[in-house]
Amino acid sequence: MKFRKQFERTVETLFFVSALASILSVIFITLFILIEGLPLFFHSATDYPPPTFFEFFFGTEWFPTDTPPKYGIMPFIVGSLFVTAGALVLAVPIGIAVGVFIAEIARGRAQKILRSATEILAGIPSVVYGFFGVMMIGFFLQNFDDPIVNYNAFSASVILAVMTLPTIINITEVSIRSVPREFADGSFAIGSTHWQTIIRVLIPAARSGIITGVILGMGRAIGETMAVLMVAGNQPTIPTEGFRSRVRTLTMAVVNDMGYAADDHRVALFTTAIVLFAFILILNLVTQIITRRSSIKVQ
Amino acid sequence: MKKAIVLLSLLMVAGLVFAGGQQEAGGDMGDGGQQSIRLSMGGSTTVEPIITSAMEIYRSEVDSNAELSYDAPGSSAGIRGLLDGTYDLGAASRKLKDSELEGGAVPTQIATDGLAVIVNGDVPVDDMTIEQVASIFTGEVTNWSEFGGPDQEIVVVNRDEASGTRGAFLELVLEAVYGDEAEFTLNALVTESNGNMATMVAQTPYAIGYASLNVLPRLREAGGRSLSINGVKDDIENVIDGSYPISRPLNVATVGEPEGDAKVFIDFLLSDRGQEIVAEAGYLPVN
Amino acid sequence: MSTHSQVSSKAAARAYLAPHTIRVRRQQAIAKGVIWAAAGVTILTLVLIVGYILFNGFYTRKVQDFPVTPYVEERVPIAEDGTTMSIVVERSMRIRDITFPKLEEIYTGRLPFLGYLTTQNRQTTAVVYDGDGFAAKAEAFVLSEGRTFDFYGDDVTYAGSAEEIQSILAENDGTIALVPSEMAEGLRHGKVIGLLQSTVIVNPEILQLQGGRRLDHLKLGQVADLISGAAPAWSDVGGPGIVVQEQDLQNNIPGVYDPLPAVPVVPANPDALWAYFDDVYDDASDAPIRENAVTADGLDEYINTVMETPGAIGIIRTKEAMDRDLPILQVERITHWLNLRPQLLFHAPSRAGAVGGLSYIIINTLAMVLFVIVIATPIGVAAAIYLIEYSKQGRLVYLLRLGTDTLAGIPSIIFGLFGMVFFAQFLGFKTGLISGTLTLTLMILPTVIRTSEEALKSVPRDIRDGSLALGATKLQTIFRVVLPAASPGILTGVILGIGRAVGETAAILYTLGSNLALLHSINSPMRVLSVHLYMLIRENVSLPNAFAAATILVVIVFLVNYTTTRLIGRLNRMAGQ
Repeated sequence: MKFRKQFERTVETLFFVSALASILSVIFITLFILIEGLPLFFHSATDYPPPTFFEFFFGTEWFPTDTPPKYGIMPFIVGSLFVTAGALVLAVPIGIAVGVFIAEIARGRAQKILRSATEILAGIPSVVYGFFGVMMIGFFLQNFDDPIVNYNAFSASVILAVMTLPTIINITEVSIRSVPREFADGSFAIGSTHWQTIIRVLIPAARSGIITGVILGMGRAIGETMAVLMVAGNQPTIPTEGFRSRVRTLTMAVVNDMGYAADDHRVALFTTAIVLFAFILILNLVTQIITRRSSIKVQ
Repeated sequence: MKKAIVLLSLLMVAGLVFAGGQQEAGGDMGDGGQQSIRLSMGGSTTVEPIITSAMEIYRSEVDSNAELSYDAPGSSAGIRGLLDGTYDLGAASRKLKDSELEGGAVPTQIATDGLAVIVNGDVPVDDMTIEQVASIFTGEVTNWSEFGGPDQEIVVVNRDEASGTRGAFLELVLEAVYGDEAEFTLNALVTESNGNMATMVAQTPYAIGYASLNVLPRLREAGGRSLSINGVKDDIENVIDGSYPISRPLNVATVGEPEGDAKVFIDFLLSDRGQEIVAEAGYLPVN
Repeated sequence: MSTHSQVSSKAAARAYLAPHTIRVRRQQAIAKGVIWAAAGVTILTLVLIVGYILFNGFYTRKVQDFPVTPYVEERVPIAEDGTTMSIVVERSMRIRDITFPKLEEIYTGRLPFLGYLTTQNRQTTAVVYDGDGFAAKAEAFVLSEGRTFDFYGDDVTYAGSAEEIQSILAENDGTIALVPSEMAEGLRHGKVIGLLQSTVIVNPEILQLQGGRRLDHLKLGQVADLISGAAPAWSDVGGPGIVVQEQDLQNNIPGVYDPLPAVPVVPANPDALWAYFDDVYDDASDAPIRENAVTADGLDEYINTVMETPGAIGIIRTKEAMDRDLPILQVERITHWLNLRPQLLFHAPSRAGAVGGLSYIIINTLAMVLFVIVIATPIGVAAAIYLIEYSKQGRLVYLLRLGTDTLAGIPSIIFGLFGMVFFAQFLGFKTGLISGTLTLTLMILPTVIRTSEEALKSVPRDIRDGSLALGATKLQTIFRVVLPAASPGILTGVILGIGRAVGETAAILYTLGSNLALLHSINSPMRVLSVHLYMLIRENVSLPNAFAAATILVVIVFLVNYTTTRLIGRLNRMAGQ
């Protein structure tokens, strides 16, 4: 009996350790990225002084192999934010509309098909999206004069929009479903139509959930690597021609150079990764706050 | 449920058994009592087709137990990897730099490659002087109208900084025309491999780039062309007799004179069979 | 519930006809339109992407330039006495015809590897039938004067009988044989392929640089256009004109050119040469040959006429053009074939993936999936069990959930960097299966934990209570009662995780590696499907193989979706009972 109890205790501990795995991973990831990336500001492998915070964040020139090297990641930050914004402009209206459609309007087969479609869109690997993007660009370039679909920010935004769509659709759907039924019934009782109810009652009530979905989508767009790498044009300067400009995002900068970077250059890539990681953590934090606030409200 | 799991594990086992079978069938000449060679190699994307084919043929025809691997992060990374011990053999698609030679890297030329200046099908020019090419890649000339073409912006496609092809092109074209201070224009699409360069140039109207001769068949399939330089076509014959101006050696490098496993593999690359592989990959054999 | 609300909404709308009804209706119409359009766009996007990938995965169409015209002959006359030759290859070879220059390369020993012709990993075995003086005739036909078979090597096999050729065909999968046509049909293990041996020759001026441009190939149909007069001048197909004023870039003087008419050169006698001209031409067009055509008698005069008449175009045998080094024009040709087929899955990749199939890649992918399942499932399920069955709600659990949520949001490239630094370098696992698997495990852990949590939650309280009441310990209850009941849900999580792992690229590029070889040890660096696809595109190795790999990935996504939907359906039904 005693043995049995001890056994149960041991297994429980094992379960607990497993449960710790994810938070430990997060801590380790943070730690190691910081350890690899932060030294950039403190010592340099060359005779030149290490870059300051200001030079790193606001520098517009990225010449990691020049002497003296220049590590300015402003173009990448702007690039990332730019393509992400573009993706959201395209994906948010469509995503919310489809989420509403699945939650409130579609029934039976239509609902099933759309839900499967969303899941499949979410499941398609990013390298396949990138491949499709390259082929899409080829098609447009061959058949149109100076098309906007080229190796540029626009193509990257379109591909990212498709990739973020499932996140926004799913979370919109879930949050609209979780609006208490009484809200809708009340709306019907005062004579509103179904559409009025959706637009005036359900969507506002599900607002916080929808915003969470948009932010998660944004996180996915900022963190996406392979698909944008294949279509965005990879030019390490600040975009000046709007959506026609070729951009390099934070993720592209890291994956592009990591294969060969050494010394400070490599460290600078990890520092770039810290910036990317910080963006993602901030977005996560915001969603946490929103979810907490909204759950308090519902209670 | 259970059935699914059983099925899945059966599949795995079948896969692994199949894998074993395949490997055994791969070659059976590897038993001379000799130690199998182990080499971890890396470097140029241009040399990659030669080395990967050679690895495959070495395993199937010489020694099936040889442990060979090749990464393609670029020439500079390959030589740096060689010098810091990551690789036993580095591959570079250019001459080695003085700093690399001082570091102890010893090059062995395994092939010669011409660099073709490649353009999109829309480009209104079939021949350029080397000065004209240089002026485009430094960003001095940005419009095809300067060459008698339509008023269209020139889209420059460049390679990434790790690339030996980029280094060779800088040396053979830009620095040859403008001197050592010459630099590539920043206003360019950037791509990380020879093959992708061909895709991008063939796709993008009014684009110009540069790549190894061996991508030319794929480039033509995709709808691009290559230019003749100073009136000389980029044929293999013209590269051999030296009349085509942009050609470079493809090297593998070792720390110190090649010895041991590295020497075995380099000797294989320089053997008739190895040089056959070089030719098959679309480059010029050294002999 | 939606049925109810729809009905009530319609009833409400009918009952409430206030003055602003029209505006409301218009708003409704717009809202309805927007929402349906959005749904339509989503479905359309999916159909477009998946359809495009699948279509190209199974069907390949290629436009290539060839130094020959697309006119195919299966019985090739090779001697004055009426002997005809056929080319027989091993039956499973993926080739329908061969160009004359390639045939010459094979029989002079310059093409030991057939991969780039057939996309199969095959070494050439060149055979020729040696009886009734056939070998000599074939040699005279294939090779230029002064050359013999085996010019560069000693690989050509002389076979004395049909049986011998059959046995060579059966033994070597890269066999190609030149045999008399009468023998060709009867050969087992072989099939007849066609020969492309007519070439467009032009006056040398046509290939000169003019104003920076040079004509180097003709599109399909342009040959016929030039001959029939549908394209009267060379400038109509991108060729040169007659110089009125040279281009001068320095002084900004544009070139001025008059049209140079195309002049077809037609053989005078209906001999073999004429047959070429007629057949190639007939293949492409029914229009009459244009009236400015010039006639020439005999081969030498024919060639001289083409070389000396400005704007001349003619068609002769490829060998004659090659022997005399005549200016030839490449012609576009379209080929198409079935791409993704069983052989592609079972053959080993070769030449960086340009040749052969995907077998190594698929086995590597399976091994990776197996490792990931073995590591991720126990950890994920144990974590979920702790969160659902043991923990009390509180700060700690909140923290654990926060950890899972944060982990789920981390981009794959960060996982890749971490895996590279921590597993490959800090822990010293190097780039390979272990580092790659552990990195992927971290990535899919949140998926497995969350789905398992949901599954455990859905197991009714009473089942647990019943088990505990019967005297089972908590652990026994969990393993014997709760887990079996929750297993479809847990499996769903694992399958979703597999889906994510299989499609991942950025996280494994620097942890699992990209070495194109079969895994041979527990920690060998290797290439899986997603990385292979990326490499094929990046190096532009082979578009058809890239589409095939993408198709397999998409099919996996569908399978994952199908099984999870089925499993969730079953779980819901069970929970409902």
